[in-house]
Amino acid sequence: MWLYVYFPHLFLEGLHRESIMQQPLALLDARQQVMDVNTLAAELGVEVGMSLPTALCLANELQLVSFDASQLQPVHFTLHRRAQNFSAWVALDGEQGLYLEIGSMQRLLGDAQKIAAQLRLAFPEFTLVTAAAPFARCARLLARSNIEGYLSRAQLKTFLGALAVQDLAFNEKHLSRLSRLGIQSLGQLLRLKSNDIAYRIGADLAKELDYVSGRSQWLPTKQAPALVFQQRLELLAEVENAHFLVFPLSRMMKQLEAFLIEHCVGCKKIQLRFDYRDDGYASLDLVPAKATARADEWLFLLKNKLEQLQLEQPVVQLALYSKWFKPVTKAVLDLFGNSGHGNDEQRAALENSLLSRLGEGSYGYLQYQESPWPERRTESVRELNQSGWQTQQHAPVFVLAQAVPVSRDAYQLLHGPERIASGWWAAQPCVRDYYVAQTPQGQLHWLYRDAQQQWFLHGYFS
Amino acid sequence: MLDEMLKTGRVWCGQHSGGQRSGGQHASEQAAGLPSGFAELDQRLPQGGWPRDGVTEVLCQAPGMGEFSLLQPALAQASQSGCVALVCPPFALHLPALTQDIRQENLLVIQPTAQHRQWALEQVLSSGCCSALVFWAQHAPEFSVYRRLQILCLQHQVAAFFLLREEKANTPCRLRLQLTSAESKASALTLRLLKGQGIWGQRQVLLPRGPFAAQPPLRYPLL
Repeated sequence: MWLYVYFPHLFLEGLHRESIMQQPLALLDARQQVMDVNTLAAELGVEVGMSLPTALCLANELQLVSFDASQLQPVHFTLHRRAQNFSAWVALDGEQGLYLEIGSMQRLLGDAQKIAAQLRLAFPEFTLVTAAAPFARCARLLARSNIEGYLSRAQLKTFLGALAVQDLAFNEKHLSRLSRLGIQSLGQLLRLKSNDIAYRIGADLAKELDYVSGRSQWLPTKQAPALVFQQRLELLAEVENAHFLVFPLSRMMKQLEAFLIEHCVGCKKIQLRFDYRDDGYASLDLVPAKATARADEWLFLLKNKLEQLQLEQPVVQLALYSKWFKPVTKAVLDLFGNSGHGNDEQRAALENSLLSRLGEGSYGYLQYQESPWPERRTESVRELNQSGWQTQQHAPVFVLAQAVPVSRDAYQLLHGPERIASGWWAAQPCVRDYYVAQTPQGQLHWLYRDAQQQWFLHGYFS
Repeated sequence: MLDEMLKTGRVWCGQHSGGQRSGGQHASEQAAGLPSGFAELDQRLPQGGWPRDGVTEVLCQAPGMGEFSLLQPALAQASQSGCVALVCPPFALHLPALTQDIRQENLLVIQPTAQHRQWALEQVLSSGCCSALVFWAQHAPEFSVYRRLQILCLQHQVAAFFLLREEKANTPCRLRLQLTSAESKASALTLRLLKGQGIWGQRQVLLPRGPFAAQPPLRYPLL
């Protein structure tokens, strides 16, 4: 059993929630035709399918919004997450629909009608049309045609048979062909052979009808939309000085912060794009030391980076994009509200300032890695993945990345040899006898002798 | 207030130096310093350990004198309460040589470029999350810079260690010491306390150095 949820005004309701009740809005497609309108615009006579000039003649205060599918990604993420409370099998359909498998959930949540009622409560800010049927594409056809029906397998044939073809969400081309053939109801259409429909009307309609009636099986694929934050801001005036961009960007950072807190994630990287007045754009990547959700940390990084940004032309539009998220765990607080590591925030601030001023690779934590080559046992990483190391009694504090050939005569050997004979799989295996040696000045060096009896200085006992 | 000043070593107090300290005062002064991990050295140091709020200069002519190993016990302790920053180490550090007492997640290695070195030091000292800092410097910073770093150490209670190649007499450090190898024994280090508030009496300390007693065997199969 499948439930289909259709959101006819998803773009306006999802992305322009604040203004939808206050001013007439119209959503425009790429051909500058009205795709969707809110109630206020509809009251003024603006309709779907109108051209832009006609719409503006009817309502001169009309606010125009251009459709951009990529902006819907965070909305889809929210829809998907909330829908998962009702079914484990949730699939997005295009930009405005959701499939939910509810057959397995009916014992828990009740029948399709009850689930639909609960869904309405879960999506209070959206207008939605729901329909349920034994086949996913059948539920989709009903909901997309604004028919709220909850059909069992027994009712299906009669209900579908009675539907008028012109009321259904088929495309214009198919509808005109159907009317020319004199087909009025879906019942008439379903009685025809699939091959005939494919030949006379269209192969895609024939296939669709097979799925709707259950003659062929089709199941939506389970997919979880990736979390993405994307925002654009058109500037009211052209900005030539990069420092002035801090003000609009700080507002965008606040929105990013709210978004991150809502989804309980921190962000590892954001991309900023500054569109020039004419052609081209400048871009900037902000990478904090640790994934963070805090707007003030982003602003700190931003201010440092903006100093280095050279604008070739005045900027007219800003865009902020991020898809690099990481779940954040809430710090465990003690009785007095301290998180144990009381200086985590200060450390993050320090790391951010080092990173933004000195660049990547300027700082790191030491991490142990098992390796026969002593010079590869310690690596510097920005975030520790594993902790702990094996202490060795005669290990030097410093190891040279590249050993230096030395003469044995200048040293007095104190300890050794410690033999390492491994790494046979590599081009240059590690076959060495290590010694602790003292110089006449009293320094302790770590020497090794290789298979060719050549001596090398490899470390200092600092 | 006087006690506080005595405790932090701001008032030089001749009669309480060396072995003449009374038991109670000795204990309170010890609590003020960062224990060095060497009992003999702690006894010599005015606060019973390394200064927690100032710069300690360690002079050694070349790497390999055990200068970092000398600081390791203190750094291990400092890493329990905050971050330990290692600024400009001359070579790559080798973890197997470090004591397990050091908290790995608090050991931050920073390699700034020459022009950003001073800025990085100031950032670390003023961050408020660091309890100790080790800076490998070829030469001591200029006096005004040094003074600023010293004040930051004092404000944020950071035990800073500057490892220097050569001595510069006029620096505002809290403590200056020199490391040389002992002439009599290869497995010992001589530590000379050159400058420090409240240092009195014997200025030379002999410290053990690495268990290298085992001489290499004369005969073994060659590689």
